[in-house]
Amino acid sequence: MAELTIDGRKVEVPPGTNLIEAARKLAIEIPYYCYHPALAPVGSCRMCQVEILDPGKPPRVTIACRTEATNGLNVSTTGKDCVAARAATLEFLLANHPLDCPICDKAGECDLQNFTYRHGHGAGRFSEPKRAKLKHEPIGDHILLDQERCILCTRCVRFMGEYAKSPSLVVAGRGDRNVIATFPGEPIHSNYEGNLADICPVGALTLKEFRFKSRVWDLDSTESVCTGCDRNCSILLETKRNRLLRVRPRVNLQVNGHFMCDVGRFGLLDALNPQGREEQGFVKGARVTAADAVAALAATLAAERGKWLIVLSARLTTEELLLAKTVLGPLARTLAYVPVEANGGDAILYTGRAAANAKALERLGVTALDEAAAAKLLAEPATSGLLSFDAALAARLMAGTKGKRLALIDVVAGRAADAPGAPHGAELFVPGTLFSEKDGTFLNLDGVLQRAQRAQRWPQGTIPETVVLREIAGAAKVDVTALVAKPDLTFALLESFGLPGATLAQLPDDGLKLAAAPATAGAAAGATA
Amino acid sequence: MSRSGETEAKEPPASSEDGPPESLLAELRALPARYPQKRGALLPLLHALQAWRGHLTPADMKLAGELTGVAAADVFSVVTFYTMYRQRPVGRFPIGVCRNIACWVNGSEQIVSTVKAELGIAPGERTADGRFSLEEVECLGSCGTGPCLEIESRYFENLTPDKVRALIEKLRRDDRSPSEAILAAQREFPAAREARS
Amino acid sequence: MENYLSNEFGRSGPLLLAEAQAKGRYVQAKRVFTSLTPEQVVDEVKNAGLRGRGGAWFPTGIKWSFMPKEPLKGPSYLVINADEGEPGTFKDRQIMEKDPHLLLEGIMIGSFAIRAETAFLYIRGEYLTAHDALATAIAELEAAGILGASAFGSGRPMRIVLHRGAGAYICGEETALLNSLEGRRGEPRPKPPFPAVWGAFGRPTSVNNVETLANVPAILERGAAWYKTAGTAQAPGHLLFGISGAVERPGCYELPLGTTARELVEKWAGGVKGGKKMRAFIPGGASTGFLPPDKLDVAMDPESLRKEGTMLGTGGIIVIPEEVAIVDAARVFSRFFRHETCGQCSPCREGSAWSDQVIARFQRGEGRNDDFALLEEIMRGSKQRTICVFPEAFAGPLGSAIKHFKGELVAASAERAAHPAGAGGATHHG
Repeated sequence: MAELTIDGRKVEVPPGTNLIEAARKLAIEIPYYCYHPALAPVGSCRMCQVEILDPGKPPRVTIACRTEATNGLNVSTTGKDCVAARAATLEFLLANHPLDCPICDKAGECDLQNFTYRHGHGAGRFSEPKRAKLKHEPIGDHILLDQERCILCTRCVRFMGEYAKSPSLVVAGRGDRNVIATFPGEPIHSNYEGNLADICPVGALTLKEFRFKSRVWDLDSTESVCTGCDRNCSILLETKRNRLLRVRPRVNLQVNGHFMCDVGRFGLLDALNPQGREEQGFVKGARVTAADAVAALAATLAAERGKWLIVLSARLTTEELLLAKTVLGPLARTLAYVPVEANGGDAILYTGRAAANAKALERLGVTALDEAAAAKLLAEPATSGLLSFDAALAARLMAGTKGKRLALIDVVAGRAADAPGAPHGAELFVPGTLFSEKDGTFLNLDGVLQRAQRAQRWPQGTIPETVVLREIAGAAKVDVTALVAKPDLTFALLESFGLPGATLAQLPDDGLKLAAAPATAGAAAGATA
Repeated sequence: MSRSGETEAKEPPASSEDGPPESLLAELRALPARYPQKRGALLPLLHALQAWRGHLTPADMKLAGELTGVAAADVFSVVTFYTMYRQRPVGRFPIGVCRNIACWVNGSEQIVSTVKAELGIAPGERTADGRFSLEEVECLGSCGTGPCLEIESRYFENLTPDKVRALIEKLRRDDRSPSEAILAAQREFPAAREARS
Repeated sequence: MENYLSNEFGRSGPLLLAEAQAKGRYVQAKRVFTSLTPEQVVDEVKNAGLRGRGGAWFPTGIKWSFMPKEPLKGPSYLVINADEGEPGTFKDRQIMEKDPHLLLEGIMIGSFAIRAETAFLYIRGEYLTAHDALATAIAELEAAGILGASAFGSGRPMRIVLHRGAGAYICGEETALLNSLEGRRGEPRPKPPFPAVWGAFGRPTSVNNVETLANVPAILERGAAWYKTAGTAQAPGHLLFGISGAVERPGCYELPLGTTARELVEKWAGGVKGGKKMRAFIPGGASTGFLPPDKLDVAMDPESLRKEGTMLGTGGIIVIPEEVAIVDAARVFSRFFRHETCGQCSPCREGSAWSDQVIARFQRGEGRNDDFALLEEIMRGSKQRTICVFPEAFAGPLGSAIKHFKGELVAASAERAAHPAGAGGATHHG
């Protein structure tokens, strides 16, 4: 470890740590633009200037991002030379900036604004005509470029090259004609485009999907995880009046680093704002309240114990899966899940497996059946029907059989307000809830258990899955007291894995990395009745 | 590559969509081996392609990128950094008049206005017949022999308005390939007056 | 001391190999390759006190001594900076166009000294005639077996690769030049690492200027003691002084370092053109800024000019005649530096553009009282705050114009405000 002094306070950091990160440890802000913890430092914005104090020498102004912490180094972030240098850099950056904050989506979370308040001159002295460059130019499927707002920090250029492995953004021109650009006529094409709006420290790269949607300070921001694949990237769900307006990655070095993919980001934006969502239940073709549908389902499963094929879904939280396994295991002919194959993943974050909580199903020991095996089981005379938590899968399984009954618990969108009949012809339909409407956890492919917090209210009348399962347990007289006696289901879950209990609220922000499951635990020890 | 750093006189492309002929391609493919890393050949490749076409098209940049293992966008970035690379057609004889200090003190503005008057074009423009274009350029290292203009990096020095008019007149009537015509004009141009100790 | 750099400058074309050899060219290179060690060469150049003629005046022998010694774990390179672009500078061009073998012999000796088997000669793209002369000369050497698998039969391979730039003043900065050689944008690299550690293509590299290397054969031939008989104690030898602008006989003059500017301008260049008065002179290329005529007795060497608050730079003197307003000359430079900054560091990119805009306003007669303070702030905010020293370069003419010619700037602005007709553009006859 290197021990150094910053503004008179001592701090220990691993050797090689740069001064920005060392200062961050002391909660001392060194402002920066071109630096980004996930990218190679280039030292070109000249914002992060600090002073190195050597006894007997005048203070030496240098940039913090490319200065490594060494033992005994004495750094000042408040010396008059570095303060003046930072203010000068800000004045330069603001000279040609349009200052159109009132119509800029970035306002409120803009580093140019923030650092100007904290490190800038009160007033700029630039009184010449400002440069005119391209504005709101689409440079990809999701990103608009405003070259006038751009301060040419080149984070976006380096992100596309170093991280997204798609070197499609460059600096074109020279000197004050420099602009961010793509190859002529070729927009960027990447699964990581959305991150550009996050890493841009100003409003030069903004999301089409968020354009003029909201001031950022009006957003409610909730820590969650992405369910686009089983990576479970740490994210923020940002809503306004219950509507999800933006999804952003949250730093989690053991899961996703600083970024997330577009499949997740924009997939969630669609999936969590479902249009034409079915919010009522159905019993034998008749529209009923969700509560009545739950009661009918519970009665059916209690009466027909051991006759239903019950297929769980990786869309459910770990807690829901634990409860489902406990409640439905004794009632099902077979309790299983159908693993999802990877499709179109990449070597960066996206695995291509659209099964957010697949690892939890595996870890809970639920039987894995491939689709053909599940269809075969369903077709057997001893099976009276299918209870599925996944409407699309249910539709496929039902398509191959005749005379079987279907019970469905899922979120179904794209329905007309008065659509006749239950989705997919289900005899029993219970409207499901979105993961963002509940608190719970997801277990990612590497065994990191993370919290997804409730960011949206479920529609009035719908009933979250845990309540549905408790209703079924009650009707079928399945004993769940061992679970519900615990402080919460997360606590019970961890204990069921043989780990010390912890409640949902007690989980670390970056998740809990679980040790690998013992080799004996697996499908064989599953929950087949 | 010939010794002149230019490709030998080749037929210019018939259409802007044509790629380089096989003879040029063979020269281009040989360039990367001159450098410890292929990428080093990028500037010479771009020079050679521009010498052939007169400017660089997106397809030229992609070709240069393929031969050097450099992403197309990166090639574009490089092209836009250097003032000698052109992305639009210029005149058959692109005239660049130095506007920097020594030439300017000795009357480079008069040289520019002479070219403007002779050709009826302003800096940044091309004559209607495509024969000439004009731009002002920064210091050419001809400070002791200014004012100076260059046409495809061939210098014409110690300029006077009369010498400029004569030069333009000569190039107007020369229908050989641009490089031949420029070199011929340079040979016939009054030698630069050079003082020394 | 007789001339050793400019003997062939009166020619109309390049001196070819046969004639060059008849005049003694490559005798030293052969001696070096066949009978000396790299240390001996470095020591001779160190003892001679040769300093880099590209403008920084760093001792060449010391620079070479930073290069790795044997055993080598991969190649080292010599890179020749022939990106001569500093306005007022045209000396390297004369060497390359007229006496390419003088440079090439220097390159061979320099390569030997740093144990490089490949030298990259980076020549600015506009110097096509010089490029052709060098290409011919290199081909001659290859045909003669002097360059190739065994230079002078020494068993040491030696190769010189000619590489054209493509129009960028900043590539004269050695790390920008290395990026450009590697096919990248000519943006200076952060230092450290320095080129002697991480240079061309990631290998240890020494970057040397053309004229610097052209000094080396003479040093090897006649020795360090001889070399030090000319020039000053701290800057020995001859320099190719370029004299341009409004003088009777502009050109390139080989004279000892420390010759006064007055001798250069009045004796050698014949004084101000047309017998007019001088408004200012620039001692060593655009970035060294303006000096008033009463400084003409300054000795042209690095130390004497430093005392005057400026630099020797490339030794290219530019004479500004009386009829030229300082504001117009300053604008020529501010426009140039704005055009040429690479733009990667924000203070330089914005500062060069902003100061150009302010000077342009003065030129139009719209100067304001607080503009001088503003310009000083722009320069202060840019200098020493960037990856390379470009802001020092653009601050040269700007700062010196304010320091020595503030009254003229104010008067010119006021006069043009009163008579706006001739204003606008870099016009000096308005």
